[in-house]
Amino acid sequence: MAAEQESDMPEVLPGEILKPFNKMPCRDTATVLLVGSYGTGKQQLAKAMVDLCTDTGLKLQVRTTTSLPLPEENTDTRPRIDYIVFIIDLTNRLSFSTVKSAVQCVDVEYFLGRACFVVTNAKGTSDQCVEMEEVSRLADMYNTMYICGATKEGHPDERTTLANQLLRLVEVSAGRKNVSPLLLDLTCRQLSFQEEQPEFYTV
Amino acid sequence: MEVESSHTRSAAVFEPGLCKPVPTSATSTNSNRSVYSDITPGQDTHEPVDASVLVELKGTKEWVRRQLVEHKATQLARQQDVADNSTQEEVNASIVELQSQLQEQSTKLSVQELVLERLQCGDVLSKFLFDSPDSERTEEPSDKEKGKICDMVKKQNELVFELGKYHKDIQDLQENLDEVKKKSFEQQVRNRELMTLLQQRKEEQQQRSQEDSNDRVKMLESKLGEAMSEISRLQHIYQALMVGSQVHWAQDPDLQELMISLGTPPDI
Repeated sequence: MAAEQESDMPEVLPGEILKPFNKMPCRDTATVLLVGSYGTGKQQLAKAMVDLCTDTGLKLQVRTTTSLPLPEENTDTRPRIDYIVFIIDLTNRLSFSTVKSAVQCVDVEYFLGRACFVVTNAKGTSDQCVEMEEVSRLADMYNTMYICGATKEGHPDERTTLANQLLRLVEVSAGRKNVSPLLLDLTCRQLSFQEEQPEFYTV
Repeated sequence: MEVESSHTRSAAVFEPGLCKPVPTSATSTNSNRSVYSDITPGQDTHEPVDASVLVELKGTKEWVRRQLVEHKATQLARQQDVADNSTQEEVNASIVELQSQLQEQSTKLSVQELVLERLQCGDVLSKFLFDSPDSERTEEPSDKEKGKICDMVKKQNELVFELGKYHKDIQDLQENLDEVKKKSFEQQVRNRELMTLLQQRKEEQQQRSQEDSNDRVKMLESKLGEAMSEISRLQHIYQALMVGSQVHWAQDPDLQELMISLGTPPDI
């Protein structure tokens, strides 16, 4: 999807919005949706997550897409999406604009512990064309956490760590753990305002 | 859109042994389950299969209960209307309150579950170790099995004691950290006050020195003016004296020079 200005964003129909509770859940099954433009490493991340799942008894299905809303023809056969991962590559402006338009096609209930942003290429600022502040502003706007990690071939350990973290979150949202996604989300970010720290003066 | 899925072996059982109510942590339930599968006496080959089926059913029941709770909570949330005229601050404050309530309730529930689990474990263990054999069981548990369990209980006690010690150390360190943070914050506040005071004083000093210099210049200028007028008065007096004394000042070069210098007004 080409980068679009906000004023040109097509209106999202109510039927196209992805909702977490419009389909029945399945025992010991979880479906993750990875949303990100081309070149963000979705395939490698999906493979890493699936490889980690083989010993846990969880039937994990990872679906990937470059844009939302999802095509209507698969709506009936598609299982319930338990968790959505939005992948932003800081060296790719298109990935950020893709995610910005995709979040508008997702129901607000996903942002209560059933979605997160993954930020790649956060180390090394020379190639970055997306500011970290923009990502953090987007995450604050949707009250959702973001995880920095690597998805490409050159960083297998980081990719495995990221896949582990995401898998834990997916297990919680699939109901495998005795914790609700909302409780987990609460511990990740709270809206309590701390007293402002004083600034230092220079004379 | 591509799809990838995992292929699993037969579902690994995380769920607890027969005597525990709700699965809370996979590791503890796994280890306890292995004790019971190894040591529980009088079992024939069919019982392990029944046990795993029961455990699976219990797990499914719990999963269904959790899904029901979540769906009900979502339904309740959708039914509640948030007033449109509430400000962002009010909404944030209510969210913070609800989050703290949720945290409190979840903590209470977890603690209750843990306490129940421990009571049940303790009850079964004491029955296993100390009760006399009844008609249902064919043989008493052997000393070896009892010894094994006793060792495990001892080790558990030691670990709990160590855990308690670490917990206390962490608590002490946390208190120290909180105190240090508080002191550092107070220090920062004091520093800020001092810096503002310093800045104010510096500004005052600069202002004063500017005023002083203005006043001083004016004073010096007025003094200079007075001195100049005094000098010119004296010059005129000398001139008048010389003229009045009828001295031939033009004939004497020194007197001539003096007269001419007395005629020029003072200039700096």
